[in-house]
Amino acid sequence: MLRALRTAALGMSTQQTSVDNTANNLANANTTGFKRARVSFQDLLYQRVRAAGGEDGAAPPAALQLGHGAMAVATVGTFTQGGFSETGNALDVAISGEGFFVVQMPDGSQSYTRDGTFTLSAEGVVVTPSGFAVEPGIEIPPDALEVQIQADGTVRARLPGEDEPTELGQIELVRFQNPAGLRMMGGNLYGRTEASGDPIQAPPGMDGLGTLQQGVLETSNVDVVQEMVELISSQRAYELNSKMVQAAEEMLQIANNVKR
Amino acid sequence: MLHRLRNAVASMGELALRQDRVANNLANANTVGFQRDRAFAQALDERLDHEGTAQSTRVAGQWADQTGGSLQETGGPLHLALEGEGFFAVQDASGQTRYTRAGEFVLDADGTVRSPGGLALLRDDGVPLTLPPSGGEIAVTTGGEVSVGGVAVGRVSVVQPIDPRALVRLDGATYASAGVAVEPAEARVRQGFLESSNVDAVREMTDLIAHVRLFESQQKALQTTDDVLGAVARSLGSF
Repeated sequence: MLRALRTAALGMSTQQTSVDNTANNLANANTTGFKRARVSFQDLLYQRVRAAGGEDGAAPPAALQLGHGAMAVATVGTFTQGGFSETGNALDVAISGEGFFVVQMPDGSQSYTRDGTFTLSAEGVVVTPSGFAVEPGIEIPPDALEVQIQADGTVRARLPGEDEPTELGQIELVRFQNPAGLRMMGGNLYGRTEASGDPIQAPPGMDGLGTLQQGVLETSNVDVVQEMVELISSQRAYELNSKMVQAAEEMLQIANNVKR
Repeated sequence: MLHRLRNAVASMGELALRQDRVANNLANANTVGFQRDRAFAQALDERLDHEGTAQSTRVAGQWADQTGGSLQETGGPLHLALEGEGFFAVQDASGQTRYTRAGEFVLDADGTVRSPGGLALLRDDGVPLTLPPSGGEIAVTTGGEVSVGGVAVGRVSVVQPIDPRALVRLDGATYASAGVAVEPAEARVRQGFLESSNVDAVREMTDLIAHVRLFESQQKALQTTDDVLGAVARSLGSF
């Protein structure tokens, strides 16, 4: 009896995890470069209550195995392409295809992002909105008239008194064998883990990487309708499991009432 | 009279087990590839003891209901669903083969295709499927042929046990392969879809209610038997 009670309670907490995840996806529906996650569930261990084979040697039908509910095993990031929204801003860059921008953290480590909302620091270096330098640390002269970022990552600027733009550097991208294994660090940043594998660095458009688009930002890949369907389904499953808790409780009460 | 008491008690025990099964089905209502458990109480489940008195109903066992769940479109390149009967063959950490219909896979750092729980998806030659690090679009045909950027990398193993009822359930919506003979299955592989569980909420709720009420009526039977025994003891005892 208590097994049903606990199984249902686990079912409820699993669905709660699912709702938490849906809430985060929906909250980030308008976050640039956000990739939605989905929770992966598994059923738990099975207990063999009765082995196959009749008591008196009759033909074995099948064993009686009872499960112990479900649990969330992983949240898997879905790295499909988001939409594009045009901003016209010279330092807004979107990746069309696979890959991440490399961001230099203050402690010297690297993190990775799909959010290409870049600005300039006081020193003229291309940085993320949080102020972290974008590799390989391209500096744009303060008197530059026109900044161009090309599909292959080359950054060029026209300087006063010159007809031809000057090349300032090239933005490189990285990709991972298993992007779903990256650690979500908040602030649109991802960190490398053992599961993601080492970054494979190359210029945009090479080695399976996507190309860059200037003046465009990548919107999140959250599909609001799909998230709502997930939400409804989780909520109903939560409700079903709560009914099970009630039923188990009622059966315990009936059992208790055998003795008057 | 004591038979009735025993029958009622055994019945209540079995109903509690059945309710545990409903609880597990409901807890896994949203688990990808989960197949609901069905108990079977056979027509011949009432036996007579040596005095000719009927013994209580027993749940003879159970099997996993293999009707397919509905397909849910996700667009994930490594989300595979099976249309028709069959299982994917996967390998656990100890090298044992398991079978599953949960076709939710991800890549690990070495390019091996694994379930989120870490089980490696097997090719039809029994080797875990790995994708080259070159990247590129992953395409899976309905026949299970996998290609990356147009280069074929192998065929996903899809098998059907000859006796599905002999499968032993393990966690993670998988079944142990131990001693079960399999043959290649006809099921078609659908890329970008996941099979939801085949738990039917209405059927589980009706079972749930029935179990509670049957449990209650067995309790009443027990109490009535007790009343009768009490009355017998009182009236026959007053001479």
